Amino acid sequence: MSAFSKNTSRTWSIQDPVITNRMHGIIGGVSSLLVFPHKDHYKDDREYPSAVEGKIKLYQVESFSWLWSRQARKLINEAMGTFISLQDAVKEVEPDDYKSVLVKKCREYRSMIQACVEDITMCRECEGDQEELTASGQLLYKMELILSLIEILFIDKKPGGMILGQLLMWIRSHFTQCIEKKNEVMESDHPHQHSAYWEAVYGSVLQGRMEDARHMLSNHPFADTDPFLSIDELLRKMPFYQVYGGVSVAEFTVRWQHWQSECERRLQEGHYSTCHQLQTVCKILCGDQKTINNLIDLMDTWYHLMVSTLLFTCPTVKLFRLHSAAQDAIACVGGEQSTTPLDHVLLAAMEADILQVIKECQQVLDNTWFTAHVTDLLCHTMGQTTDQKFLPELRESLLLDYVSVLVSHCSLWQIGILYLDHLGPSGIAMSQTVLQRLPLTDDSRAHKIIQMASDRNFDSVVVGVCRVMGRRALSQGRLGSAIWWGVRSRDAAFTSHLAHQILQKYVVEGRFESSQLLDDLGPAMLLSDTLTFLGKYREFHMMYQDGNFRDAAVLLVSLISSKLAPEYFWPVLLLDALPLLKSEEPVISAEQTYELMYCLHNLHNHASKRGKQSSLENEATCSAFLEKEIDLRLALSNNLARAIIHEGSVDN
Amino acid sequence: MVSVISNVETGHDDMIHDAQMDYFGTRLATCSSDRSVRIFEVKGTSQTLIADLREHEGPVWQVAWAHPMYGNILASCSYDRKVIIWQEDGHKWKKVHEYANHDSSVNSLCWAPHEHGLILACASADGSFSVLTSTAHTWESKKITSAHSVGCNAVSWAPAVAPGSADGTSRSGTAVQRIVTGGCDSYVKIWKFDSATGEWIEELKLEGHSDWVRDVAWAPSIGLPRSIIASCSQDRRVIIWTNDGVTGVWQPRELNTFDDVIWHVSWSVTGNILAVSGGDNKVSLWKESLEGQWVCLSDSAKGQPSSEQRTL
Repeated sequence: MSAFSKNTSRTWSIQDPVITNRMHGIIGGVSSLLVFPHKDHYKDDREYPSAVEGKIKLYQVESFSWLWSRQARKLINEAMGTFISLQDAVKEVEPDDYKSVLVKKCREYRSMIQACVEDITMCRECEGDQEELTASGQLLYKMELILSLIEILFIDKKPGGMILGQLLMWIRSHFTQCIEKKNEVMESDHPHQHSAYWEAVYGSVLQGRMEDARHMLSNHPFADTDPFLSIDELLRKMPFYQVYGGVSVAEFTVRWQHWQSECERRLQEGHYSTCHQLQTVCKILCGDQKTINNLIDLMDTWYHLMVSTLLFTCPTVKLFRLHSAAQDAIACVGGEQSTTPLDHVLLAAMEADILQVIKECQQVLDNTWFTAHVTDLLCHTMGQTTDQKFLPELRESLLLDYVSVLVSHCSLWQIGILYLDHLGPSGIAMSQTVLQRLPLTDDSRAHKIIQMASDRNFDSVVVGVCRVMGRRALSQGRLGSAIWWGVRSRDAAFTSHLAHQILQKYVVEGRFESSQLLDDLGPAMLLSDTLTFLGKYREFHMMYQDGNFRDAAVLLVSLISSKLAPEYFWPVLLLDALPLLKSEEPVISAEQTYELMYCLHNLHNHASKRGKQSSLENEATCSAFLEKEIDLRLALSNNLARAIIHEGSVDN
Repeated sequence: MVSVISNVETGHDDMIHDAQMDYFGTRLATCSSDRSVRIFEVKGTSQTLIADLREHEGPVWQVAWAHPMYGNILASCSYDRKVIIWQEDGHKWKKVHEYANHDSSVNSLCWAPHEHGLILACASADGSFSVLTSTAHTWESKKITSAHSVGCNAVSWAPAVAPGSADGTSRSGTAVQRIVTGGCDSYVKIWKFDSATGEWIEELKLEGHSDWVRDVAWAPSIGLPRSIIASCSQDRRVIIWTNDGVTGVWQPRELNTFDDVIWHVSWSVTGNILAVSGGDNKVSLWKESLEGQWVCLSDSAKGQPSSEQRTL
């Protein structure tokens, strides 16, 4: 929407003396360009001595769109709703209702544009850059004008191809000056003396508002005279074709010709010779081209002129003849030289050249909000016809362009993702890329992205986000949270690494990080051996705390004998066994005791072997353990004796 | 239709050779002839310097961010023949690995798609390129010598899309690893990792440029089976190589012949826009039209903006 931005040309310049010498540009992030001063480096030659004057600055350049403005926000949101419901509706709807769905959706788009225009008008009264707001308002008005013409010509086609009735409505709703003028005139004390009285009458007639024209004429002091009564009769009797009016085209044509020859007769017979204004009205009714052309100031545009002319010369005009009528009207207002881009769009529409319509729009708008939605509508409308093969591809491409603008915005990206669901494989690929690249500012953002990704079965995205979050939690020292993310990302190596860290921390500090989280792992603990061990070891703690010593002992021994435990943790396990070995009731069986003794033996061997070559910290741990070793051996042999006696006596 | 949203006073004492945004666009790394690598935190339109890394002994040519699932890791390469891998630990950035196995300036580097693991490729003026792979505790390297005679200027990884999953729904770890390189011998070469032998083998040699190839960039996958590579050269041309994924043939199409040497090509994240910058002091953006033509979207250039104003 070039009208909104100050820099519309395709070339944009950066004013910086340092960058003048050499510039380099690299795409950074989802949508920005990094531009910085740079020098030819002949990488493999010698090092270049350099003299830099001024500060070395780097510029972040982004495309600026009208879509970022506050007024556009509602439009973006509402358009998304309509777009999504349209995609769903066309899949489900019966063929007979297809057209009515599309017409309804088209009108939704139109009304949201109109609402946006109204918002802007309200804004203008209180704030903002007036010039820019006015320009936005005008542009939106023009978009709506184009869209309603597209609705008439392509979407809401009537049986028999009769279009004048719709075109007349189109002109009436977009050119309301004559009504405003009429109201102003009629509110004055002596309407017929108002300078705009006759202009308002002509204007009403040219838009086929015969009731309005008659109302005004009836307020003239001479309303009871013959010329006024005569013109009133002609205005009243003018036939209008109605598509569902029950009158055939042929019958209508006969009636209409009869009516117009009556107009011509009265004109020739001089019914209005006393009043040249009424003569003008009658000449309009007769379809006198010169008279209508002379009133161009009341119509502003060639398309108003075209519709007014057709109204009185060819009321049964069909779409395929519209083009030549349009050319005639353009010639009348000064030919091609004076046409604007808007004129080109409308003309292309009247030539039924969809591609040209989209092209013309695209060339003047700075984003694809309008063309993407229009193309989508047209694509669904023309879905069945085979000669418009380019439409699906064009639809996808324009919508992807629109979405790529949305997804680069910090809060509009979610809307973008919803569009991408309807854009085929390219949409899926972009959706995945975007979801992976959203900054993970906090946990809730991460959860939101994961939710959106899993709704779409983007497993790799979910795993990726979890891994990033896990890695981040680890770097911040939040091990419990890191484990949680690691489990979600099903990353065995990472969770093993984390489980080791938690165990090592336990060895040093004697307490668990985020024990609650570890206790709730459930089956997820099976992801890696170390994690399984960690989870089971927590279970042992719980049992022990609950006083369930027998089960705790069984679990502990199985943990020791299963070799799940990392070696550095063996001393801890054996020391954990100490109170159980010393408990009043023997809870560790003879066989289990042998296991523990075997384990202790191994550990002793390892420790003494490593003692010769190990680092200081290891030595410290080892010596601490060795101190307790004697205690442990004593407890083991005591327990063994007790267990053998106990087991022997129970057996008997 | 474009606007400068911010400008960063980089604090570099000399020209910048490369600037890269991290994966999320929240951090910016720059490198310069002043031998330093600088990292900035980007928040909206403001930037804060968070690290100034000075370990290189020559101009630093390029920087590259690893995927954040491996942590905050940055790699840089320099005229001093070294590649340095930096990692953020807590709030401190430090060197975690140095690779100095090239005999000349290391010109370019690129991280592999994260699906393959933490793997870095770097290209050197000694005509070879290396692939560094992170294993549990160390970095393993493999040097592919005589890749380009006179020198290897650029390296870029193929996106990790497994064959037969063109829609990207099942990007699996089984995707073939491919690298594209460009060199002083005017060739663009595609290399494939043969997992059976563990060797990188030259798969294809693309001939089209008539002078040193300055940069190559493999386009990200946009959900279609085809692959695209952009290459630019001293011969002032940019060539787009397209492989439709069916015939396996790389079809060259010349983007444009520019007024000066083209130094750099880079793809947008969504893979449909190519940024080209060269000695003509312009950065231009290109997009493929539906008819398969590459068209220029806009330029960013030094000079007065034209007064052409179009309205509807």
